[in-house]
Amino acid sequence: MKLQKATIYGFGKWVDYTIDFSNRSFLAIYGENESGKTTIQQFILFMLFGLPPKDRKQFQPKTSGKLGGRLTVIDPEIGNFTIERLGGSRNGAAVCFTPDGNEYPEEWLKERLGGVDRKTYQSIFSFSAMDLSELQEVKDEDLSEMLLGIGLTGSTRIQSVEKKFMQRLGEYFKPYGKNPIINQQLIKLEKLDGELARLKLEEATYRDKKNKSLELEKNLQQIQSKIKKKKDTIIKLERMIQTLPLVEEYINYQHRLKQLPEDILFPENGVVRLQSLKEKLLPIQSERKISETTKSNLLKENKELESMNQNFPIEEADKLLSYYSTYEEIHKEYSSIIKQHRKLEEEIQAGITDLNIDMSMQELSTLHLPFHIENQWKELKVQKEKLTNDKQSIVEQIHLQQLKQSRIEKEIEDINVSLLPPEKKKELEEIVDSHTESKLKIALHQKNVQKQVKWEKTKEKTSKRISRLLIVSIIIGIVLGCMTVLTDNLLFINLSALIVLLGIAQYGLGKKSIQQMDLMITDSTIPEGLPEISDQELNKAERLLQINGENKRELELLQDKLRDCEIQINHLLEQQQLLKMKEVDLSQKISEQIHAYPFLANQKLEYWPELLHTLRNVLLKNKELTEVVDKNKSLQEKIDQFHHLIEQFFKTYSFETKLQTVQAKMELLASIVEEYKDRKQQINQTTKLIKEREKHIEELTITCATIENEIQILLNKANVKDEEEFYKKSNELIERQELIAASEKIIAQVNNFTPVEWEEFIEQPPLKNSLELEIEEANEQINILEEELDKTRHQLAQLKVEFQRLESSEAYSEKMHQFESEKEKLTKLVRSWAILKTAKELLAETKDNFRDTYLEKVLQKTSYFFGRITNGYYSTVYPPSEYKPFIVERNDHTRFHVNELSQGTINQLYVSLRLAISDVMSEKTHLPFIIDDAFVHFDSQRNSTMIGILEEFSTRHQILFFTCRDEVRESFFDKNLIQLTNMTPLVEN
Amino acid sequence: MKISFIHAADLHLDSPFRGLAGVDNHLFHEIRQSTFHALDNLVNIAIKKKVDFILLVGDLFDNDKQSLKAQIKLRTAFEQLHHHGIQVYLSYGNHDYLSGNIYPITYPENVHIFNEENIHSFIYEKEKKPLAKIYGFSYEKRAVIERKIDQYTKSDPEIPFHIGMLHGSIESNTEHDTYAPFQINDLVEKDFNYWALGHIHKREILKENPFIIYPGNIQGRNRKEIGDKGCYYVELSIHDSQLEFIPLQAVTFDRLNIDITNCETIHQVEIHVVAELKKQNYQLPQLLELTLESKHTIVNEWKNEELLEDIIDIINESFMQYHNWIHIYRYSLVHTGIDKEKLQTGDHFIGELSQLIDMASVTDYLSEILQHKEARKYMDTISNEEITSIKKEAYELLVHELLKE
Repeated sequence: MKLQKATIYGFGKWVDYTIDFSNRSFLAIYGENESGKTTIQQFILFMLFGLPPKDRKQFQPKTSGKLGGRLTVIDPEIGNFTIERLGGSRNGAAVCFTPDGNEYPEEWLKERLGGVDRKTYQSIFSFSAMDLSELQEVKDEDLSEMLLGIGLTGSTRIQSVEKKFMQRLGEYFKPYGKNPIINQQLIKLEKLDGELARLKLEEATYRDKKNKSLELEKNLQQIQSKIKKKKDTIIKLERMIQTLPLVEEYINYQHRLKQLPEDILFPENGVVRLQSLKEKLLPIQSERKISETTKSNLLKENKELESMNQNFPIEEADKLLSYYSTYEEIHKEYSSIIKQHRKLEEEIQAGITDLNIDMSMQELSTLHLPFHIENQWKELKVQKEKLTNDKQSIVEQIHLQQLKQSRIEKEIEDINVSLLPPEKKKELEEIVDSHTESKLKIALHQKNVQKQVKWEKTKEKTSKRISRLLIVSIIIGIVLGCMTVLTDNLLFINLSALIVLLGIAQYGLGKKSIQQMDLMITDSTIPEGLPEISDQELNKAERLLQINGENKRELELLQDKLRDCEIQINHLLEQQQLLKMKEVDLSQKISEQIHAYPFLANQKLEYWPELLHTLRNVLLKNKELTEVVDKNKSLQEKIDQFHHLIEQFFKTYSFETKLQTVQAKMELLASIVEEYKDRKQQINQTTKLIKEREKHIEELTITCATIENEIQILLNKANVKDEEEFYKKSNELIERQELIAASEKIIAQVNNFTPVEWEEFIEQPPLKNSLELEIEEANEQINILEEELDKTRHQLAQLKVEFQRLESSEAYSEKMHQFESEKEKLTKLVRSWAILKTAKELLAETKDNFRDTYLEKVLQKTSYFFGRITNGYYSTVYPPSEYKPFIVERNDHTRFHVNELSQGTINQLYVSLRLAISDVMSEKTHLPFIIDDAFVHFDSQRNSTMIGILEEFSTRHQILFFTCRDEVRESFFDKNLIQLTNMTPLVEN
Repeated sequence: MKISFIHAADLHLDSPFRGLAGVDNHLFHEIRQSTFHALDNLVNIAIKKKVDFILLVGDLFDNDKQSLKAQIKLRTAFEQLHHHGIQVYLSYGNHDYLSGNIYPITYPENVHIFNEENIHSFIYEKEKKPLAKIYGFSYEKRAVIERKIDQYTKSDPEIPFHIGMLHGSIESNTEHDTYAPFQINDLVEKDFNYWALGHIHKREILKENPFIIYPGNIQGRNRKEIGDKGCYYVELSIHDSQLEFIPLQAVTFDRLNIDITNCETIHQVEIHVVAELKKQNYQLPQLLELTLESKHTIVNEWKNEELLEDIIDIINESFMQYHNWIHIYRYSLVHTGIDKEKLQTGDHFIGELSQLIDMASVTDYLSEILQHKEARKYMDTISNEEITSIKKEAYELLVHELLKE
């Protein structure tokens, strides 16, 4: 490739400037310092390779906005084309224009440039004095490496890259390391793998466990079926044991059946029938027996009753009883009289008491009250009342009429003389009274006489009775005493003593009552002290008294007359006197009365009439009493009579009784009689019953006979003599039936056994013990089996748990994924490592290859150029070996180390080397060389030698030689020279 | 007369993922669960669509990396289907071949397993009427190389629908191990209504009449298994049959190219990439392989300075908390400028390097690690493809490092 023309629109100091390279191969571009040489070089580089915007900026012209330009080149393959780059547009990218009008992009340009970029280009196709000086400054040790790098990517880069790779590789992996990441990863994987294997193993046990589980389940079933079998056996054995008693029973039944006759003649339902007949018969028989017993009892009873009645004196008793009713009446009367008597006595006593008079019953009975006495007393009473009244009225006037009074008194005294003396009068009155009394007494006496007669009789009877009783009691006492002697029982002697004492006491009492009675009766004699008054006397007295009375009334009349006659003055006094007299008279009368009737002493006169009245009643009652006493006496007699009868009766029929009262005795008697009568009636009743029984017995006997006949028929049918046999036969029949039924029942019960089994069982019944032993054995076996079962179940359960754990565990799955992931990581790491490693190895290998292919060529060229430059003084250059730097050989075959050479020679060597490298390296790519005063240190001879060498070069590459040295310029022809200063108006900034 | 079913294959439950190194624990867990989530989705779809049955054509799990969990989850899924009266017809493939299954899990009775290598069949009955006959076989060993297709014979023609289940590959397919090989014509000739294929993880409808279908796997697990993954919902009737692809994956593996030519700084790259990712509006969590393209050579610098890695980490972190998170598990920078090889021919050293590179024996370089006892144990064998890639990257690295300003 050759540069033809460069048109600068604007680049650094160059604006709108065109350089025509005129298709020259070797062109020197002369310009002094600061003439813009370097800018042109940069422009060319910019056109070919472009520039990053930042770098581009520094070439922005200060006077123009334009940046860029065009570069026309000739390509041996394509022909000429123009590269255009503009700083403003396309971001500095190139557009290539071919003559046929096509446009091509940057890439196309790059292709045309053979892939050489700016850097490569600069290292190969462009060199300057600076490059050489750099070469010289290179340290000896690095020299060979550095040389390698000249014009290449740069050996320092290779080195540092290698270093970097080594380091990174070390970080990744060391075959025996531990810490590099791959090693670490491997360790991790190793660990995971182990864990995974373990987990896998664990999960793999799943199958074993499953198999085991299946096996266990099978075992379980087997064991269960075994247990079931054993249990069945036990059940069978137990059944046999249970059945054993039945078997024995069965055998027993069979045995007994054999002992019984085959045919038994027996009436149908014989026993029941017999039973029913007997049931009928039995009550009848028992009834008959009862009837007979009843009958005999009745007879016996009858007899007893009759014997009891025979000894009883019913007639007498009846008589006595009939008397008794009379007696009762008498007794009733008696008691009522007694009552009356007592009442009367009480009344009399009460009357006496009421009257408050001191008077006994005897006095009372002697008291006689004449009929007039009443009037007398009344009169007395009236008189007294009047007296009292008169006295009062007179007393009032007494002082006034004192004189008169004395007169009247005188008169009264006169009259009084004519009157009967009081003694006489009293006498007379007594006569009258005693007359009345005597009459009463006579009547009473007569009654007493009668009574006495009666009493004599009674007394006799009573004394007889009591003496009789005494005798009886003594006899009984003696009898009892004898019994005591005989029986040695002290009770009897006590009893005898008691009875004797009782007898004596009774006698004593009886006697005493008789004596009292005697006294009472004999007392009632006629009172004989009373004077006997004749009727004449009586009449005389009565007349005297009457006259006296008349006198008195006459006196009174006299007094009145006296009064009338006498002066009234003394009237009152007289009256008083009279009254006093009257009073005395009255007192006299009263005292008379009191004397006659002493009981009046304590009584006030006023009450005398009433007293009389009452006394009369009392007297009346007293009289009544006397009568009652008489009646009492007669009744008592009757009663005693009856008592005697009873006593007699009881004694006669020796009813022993301690009853004392008649009533009780009579009641007893009555009850005895009643009993008698009852018995009599009973006897009648029983006799009737006996007759009935007899009839009944007869009927029953007939019925019995009928039934017995029927029973006999039954017995005949059964061909037996008596019932005993009949029953025995019946029992046999029943037993036979029962045995058959029981046997059948047993067979029905043992339906668990087949008939054959049963037969065997019957024929040879096993022993209970041996069966139990078998059961025990079976049970033991079951226990063992059950233990086994439990164990198996337990194992199975454990397995199930394991299953669940395994099934639910994700450990393996997780670990596996983790493992895979880590493996992948490893792969990734390994890949990274592999890339690094490959890169590193490639680098090393390339380096070797590179050395092999290029170094030789370079050294040949270097030798060639070195010889040319030194004018053949040095012939060969040897490459640096491991520890040695470059070695050069002089034409006399002397070899020198590079550091043995002079500086000038070293420079020559480096220039040669540089040229050689560029020559070799540019073989493929024919790009123009740009040399910028590289040989500035060369003298003119060497310079011209160099130019000569470069001319050789320019046959293969276009060379643009930038220089500021005149001597160089002079060595070029004009046409090959571009003088910048002359030609271009430099735009000064 | 109509039947509906779901056709799925290659569930690869709980098999490990690629691209998860350096994933945050939380995401790791989610990704790890994704095959199960996909299975759940499958079950839910089946229940929702009330299908008659489900066909699972092999590779339900990986025997090599089989976890009990996979088995249990599968059982649980089947139980769920059982609960809804959905039948399951399943055959085992080269990854879950019969003799390699170490977990004797008992599936519920709705699961009908082709449990031998000879072709046999099940009859699907609906309301006591036989509606479909399903033919298939399972791998007994790790590989079945013979042409199983020849053994399929249609029988009981009165049954309306005949379905073949086949876990294998087309004879011409060289990308995968060819198991039970067949040609499409072989299948067509059998006169079946539907061919449910399995084994190939990329879904493909080989033919529409009759349907010959690879449903692909249900959840992507590496950078090759990208995009939606799922099953086919099929309605077969005498005259009109319907086919619908239903995505099941819980996490999507995908690739994304982003041009970052306009980015001059690494910070701009971050902003740009985040914006671009947001623009995608992903509906599911994504595991992305990101390719950044730029015409600027500066990008190489970023890459080699590990600046880019830092940026990716930051981006990943910023998307991690999203419900539909995004994780860039792999990234590459592509310089779309001038071909470097050509560019560097001017450099003799690099030229020398370029010449060397084709001949260079990378395995020799790597012998240190390849011979390393432990490393060998845990490293996958390095494929030629990988070696080329390593070589390329090493070269790029070298050039970059050497030419770095």
